[in-house]
Amino acid sequence: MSATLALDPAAVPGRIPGNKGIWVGIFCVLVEFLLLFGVYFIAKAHHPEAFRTGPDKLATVAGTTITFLLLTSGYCMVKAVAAIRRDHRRATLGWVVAAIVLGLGYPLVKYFEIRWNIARGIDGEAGIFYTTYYYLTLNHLVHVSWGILGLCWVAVRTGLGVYSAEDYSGLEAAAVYWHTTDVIWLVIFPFFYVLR
Amino acid sequence: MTDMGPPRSQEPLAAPHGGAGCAWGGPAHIGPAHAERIWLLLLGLTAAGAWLGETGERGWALSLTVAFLIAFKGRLVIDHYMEMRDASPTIRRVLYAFIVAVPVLVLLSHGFGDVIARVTARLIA
Repeated sequence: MSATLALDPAAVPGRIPGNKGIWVGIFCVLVEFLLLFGVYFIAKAHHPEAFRTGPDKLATVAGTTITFLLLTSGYCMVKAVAAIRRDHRRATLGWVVAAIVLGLGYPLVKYFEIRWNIARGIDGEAGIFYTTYYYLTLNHLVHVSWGILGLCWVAVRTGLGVYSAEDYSGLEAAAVYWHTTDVIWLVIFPFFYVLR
Repeated sequence: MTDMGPPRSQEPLAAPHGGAGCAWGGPAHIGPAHAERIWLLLLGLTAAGAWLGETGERGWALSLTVAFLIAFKGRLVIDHYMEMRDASPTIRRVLYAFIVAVPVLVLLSHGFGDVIARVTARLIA
């Protein structure tokens, strides 16, 4: 092993970030969302006009804000993993808490977005585009909620001093799950706010 | 959670190194300074996508741009946030397949929406 690889845990070839268990869960989530995306494309093929005009009535600023929040929260988890590798435990806790606070902004923005929608008559029965929109985005919100709960668990364990530079697989597992919710949102965002 | 990955070094991290390099020339693994660049790039691409959402009209240009943004942003998160470039090839391939499959579906949906509608209508009936 080269000197560089010995110094950088992320450079160990073939390593599994986090642990195997979290990847089983992540693969299940990816398959689930691929199926849901299949529903989106089939609905779009059958109702092209509804999907062409649908995004016009949604608040793009809400979708954009959620994307910013998730990407920035993900960035905080990158910093948390980097900090624990240096055994900077207080800094790690700070980054994880920041990731949680930013992540909680998502359900908050979603709450106001749905209120805004409902005030304009955009509910789950407003048309096939909006039914698909609620189905996919709320499903994603559920997965983000699991992620936030996981981050809270990790924050408690970080505070208790469970993680160290030698063993931080639990923290990294929560981080890769959290990044997976980013990847999925990066698909959902253009589906409903950009694509016509 | 149980640690099933390889043993971790007790040494402090070195400064970000060149590594294998990524498609646009950055290091393979995210480092403390590198993280900010990736984060800002992702935010910038998101802002560009939002602008398209407000001004874009249905057409191949929009579908191609969206397909590119999904693939590129997804790749940035997978390579740099998740640090998958040197990680398990099996996991990396599954993640890459996901962010390739979706843009392909976006383009197929745009070009062959009527075919998809016909085939699925026949399957349902």
